[in-house]
Amino acid sequence: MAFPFFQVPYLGNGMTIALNAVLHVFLSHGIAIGLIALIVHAEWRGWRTGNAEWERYARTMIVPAVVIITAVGAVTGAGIWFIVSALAPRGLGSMLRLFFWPWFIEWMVFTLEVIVILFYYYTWKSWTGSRKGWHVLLGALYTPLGILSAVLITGILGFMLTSDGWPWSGSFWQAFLNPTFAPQLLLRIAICFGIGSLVALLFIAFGRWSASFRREAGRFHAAVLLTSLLGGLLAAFWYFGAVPRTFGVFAVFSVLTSHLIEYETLFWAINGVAVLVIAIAALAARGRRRWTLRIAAPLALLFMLSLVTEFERVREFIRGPYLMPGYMYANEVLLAEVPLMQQRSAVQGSWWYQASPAVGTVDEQGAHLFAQNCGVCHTIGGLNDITDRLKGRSRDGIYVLAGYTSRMVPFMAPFGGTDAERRIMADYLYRLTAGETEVVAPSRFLPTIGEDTR
Amino acid sequence: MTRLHDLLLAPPLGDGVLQVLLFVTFVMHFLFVLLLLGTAILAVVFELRDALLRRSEDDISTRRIARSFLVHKSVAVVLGVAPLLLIQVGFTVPFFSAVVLFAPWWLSLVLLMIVAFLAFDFPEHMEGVRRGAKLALWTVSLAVLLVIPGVFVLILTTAEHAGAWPEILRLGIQLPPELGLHWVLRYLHVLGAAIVFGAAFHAIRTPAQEARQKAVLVRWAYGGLLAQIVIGVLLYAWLPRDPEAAANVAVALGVTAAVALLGYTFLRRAAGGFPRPRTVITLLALLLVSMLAGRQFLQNQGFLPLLGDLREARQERLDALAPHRAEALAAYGDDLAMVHDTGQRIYKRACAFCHNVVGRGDGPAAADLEIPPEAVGFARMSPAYLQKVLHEGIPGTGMPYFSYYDEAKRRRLLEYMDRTMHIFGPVPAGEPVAPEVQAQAEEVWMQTCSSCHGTDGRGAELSRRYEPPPPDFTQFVPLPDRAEEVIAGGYRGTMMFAYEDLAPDVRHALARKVVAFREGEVAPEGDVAPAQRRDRVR
Repeated sequence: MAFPFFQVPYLGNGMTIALNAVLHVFLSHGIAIGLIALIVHAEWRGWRTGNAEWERYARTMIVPAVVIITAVGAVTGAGIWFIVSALAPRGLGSMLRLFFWPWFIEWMVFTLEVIVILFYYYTWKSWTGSRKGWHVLLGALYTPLGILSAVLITGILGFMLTSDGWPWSGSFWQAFLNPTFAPQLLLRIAICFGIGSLVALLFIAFGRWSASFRREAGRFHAAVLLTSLLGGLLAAFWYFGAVPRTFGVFAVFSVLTSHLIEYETLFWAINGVAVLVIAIAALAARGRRRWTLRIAAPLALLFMLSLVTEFERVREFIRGPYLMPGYMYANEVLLAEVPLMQQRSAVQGSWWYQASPAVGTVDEQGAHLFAQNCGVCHTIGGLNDITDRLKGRSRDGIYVLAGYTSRMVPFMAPFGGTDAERRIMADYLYRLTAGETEVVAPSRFLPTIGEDTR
Repeated sequence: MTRLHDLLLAPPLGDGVLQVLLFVTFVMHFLFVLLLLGTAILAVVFELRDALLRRSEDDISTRRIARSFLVHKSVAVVLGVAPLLLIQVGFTVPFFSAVVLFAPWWLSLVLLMIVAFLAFDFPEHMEGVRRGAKLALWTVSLAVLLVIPGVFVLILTTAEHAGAWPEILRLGIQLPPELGLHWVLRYLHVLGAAIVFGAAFHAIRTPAQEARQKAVLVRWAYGGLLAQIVIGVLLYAWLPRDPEAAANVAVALGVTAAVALLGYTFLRRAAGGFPRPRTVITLLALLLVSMLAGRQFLQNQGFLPLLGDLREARQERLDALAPHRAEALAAYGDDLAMVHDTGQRIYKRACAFCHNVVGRGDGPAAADLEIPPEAVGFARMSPAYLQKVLHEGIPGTGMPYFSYYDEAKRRRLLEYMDRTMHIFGPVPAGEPVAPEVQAQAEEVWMQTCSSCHGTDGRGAELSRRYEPPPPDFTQFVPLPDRAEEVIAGGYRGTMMFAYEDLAPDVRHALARKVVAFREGEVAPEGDVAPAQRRDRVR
């Protein structure tokens, strides 16, 4: 193949990307866009009304917000890039070529965002009095820049599920302005203000404020939260209506997986409870009793973050078997390459296999074929362990199933390799599952080779 | 040997534009990287020295130095996105290959940056952190920060030397010695540059009235420059490949700027003054731009020849794929239209290739299986049995589990199979047999069959460990004709042997017995779908 393989041990590649990406979503959406906008609003309110508590409230939040978004938010955002570079280089490289200009423009927007937020932060104490209005304006510049970033990135993310007519036309605009672009953008904006308002409510619940300020600020943030919740639900409904049904039918499975698929009713119930708890937090924010908000706000935030995680999981999973629908499978093999690889040897066609110091054993070939075809989703001995999946299957059964993956399991890619190679891989996986061979280096899929181990 | 090829989607920029953009964005990014590293080094060293000498916190104005860290790191990170984007677009194969080869180091960068940045910013911007804790956190931050340029230099060194990739693999993902030396010197050169630029930046920012502090910082910058010249000479002398003229010119310009800055600083200090900021900035800018230009020329020596090969191989690959493109798109279009939520579609896509469209068990893939797929269309079973099989598969066979289909989809599949194959329908008893034949069959059952199938047809204790185990006949039975076929011919690949020596009427009686195990579901002769009555399975 075009690149060597690496798989994060135990976690696997998908989970590694997900852990970083979901953290980034929390921070970029909730803190960078949502909370910063609410901080600017608080500062503006304090300035217009002369209420020092609003100013103090804003000041209390800005310091941790800026530290977190510059140290963790920005790094996890670049981190998605870093991680995918190592784990899906061909896919990322292809996406970069297709969407170079949105990403390049987004870089410029991101740079402006950082400059604005740093100026906003460092001039807080000095831009006072007659310059306070300018300071508020400076802060107000940040949110539209953040939303512009979201616009650019959402087009790219939407393409990965709904590539629309691009595979046939090659049209950039069809790729970017795809069917899930608009609903996903609205959903993400709702997420921004949903998380942001809940974090702001935490500061209200656990900070030292007068009763009147708590009520006033609580009412405002409750309104923001409820609007976000309603907007988010409508946007989610629109979004899933725009997702092709061939993908959408596996949405529930993507969350429950084989382990919990029998509990679909419970799944819907928990989602319902999550929405209810968030609504209750909004009501608690309007109430007089601080203890209700102290209980409801953290719970609601936890449920909100869970819903966001669930959405990202569904979005990423249901696009399977594709990474770029109509062009590239999730295992970075192109759709048009599969018939070619089924005619010609996939192993012999791999520069990296030929360049490796492999002695050409059947195990090495099997491991290479597994890595190329299946390693994107399946680990050996970790999450989505292939030996668990194949337990109980016969050797010939694995051979047959590998030839019909995409028919049997619609979110799995077809096998790319000759029949003989499929048999080699099946034999290797059978012996791996039976414990008759071991993997010496699970990151690079190196099996035991006779007496030589690496 | 198979050739590496460039990605098949066309690059979005011409090479010339890419080179210029890469250079400009990298200079901007690298400047702030040097400032951030230099700031961290100076802040930690001065704070440590003050703590050891028991000076007050503000003796050397580490607060002024440290406060700029947040700006430098934020700008360095954001500006780093562009050169990363450009190098990945323009030099996709070498850069990503290096990244994957050294993936554990590359992946650790995310965590390293978060730890380093938080450990530095948190005590600096949050109130109430004691001096000892601050120093400890800053030391951790610096230790972690110092690893980061090492990783980037490792990746770039590897990317620029594609010829060394097989050697790297052979060594177990390590740099060969000559590249290892290059990496060390290049890394030290980055650290030296960080000290020069960091110290110069903070020296310029220090007001003239804080002369002692300013002098310390100028000495750091001066010492850093001297060290840089020594490291730079060693680095250039031990380059893995001979530099081209353009690189030599750029580096010579940089060295000139460095020597000029050294001389200027020495003369100004000797005269009791400080270097003028404008002159320092001009010379440092010239130094940075020319050295980074030299770096890019040297990098291109590694990238550009490889790029030529990659693009040639790319065209070959595109030509090889051209005949398959239309077919692949057509299949994709069909897949988009296929929604796996009806019983018919699920059966035809997921089951028929083994079990056959009417459940005869001889689908296109059946010949490759040692144990043939079950002729489900010629059997009767309980819904619970089939649900269990779909949930767990059958051990020792090719029958997998299908729990990725939720309950609703599995129900529709079962409904489809029942509608078309009557799998949950009543079981025909088969033609009656004479009592003496039935008695003979009972004896055969007790002496032979029950050892695996159990006296009650649910399977003997021992046989439950077989893979596959015999079916529980109270839940699953073949139709009588099918049962007779299996008794006579065996079930290939399983413990069910052929009993062809048994008289046909005894086999028939045994089939009736098997069918009778299916609790309360036995129907009179005649209640069988016509197609199944007519067809023999094999």
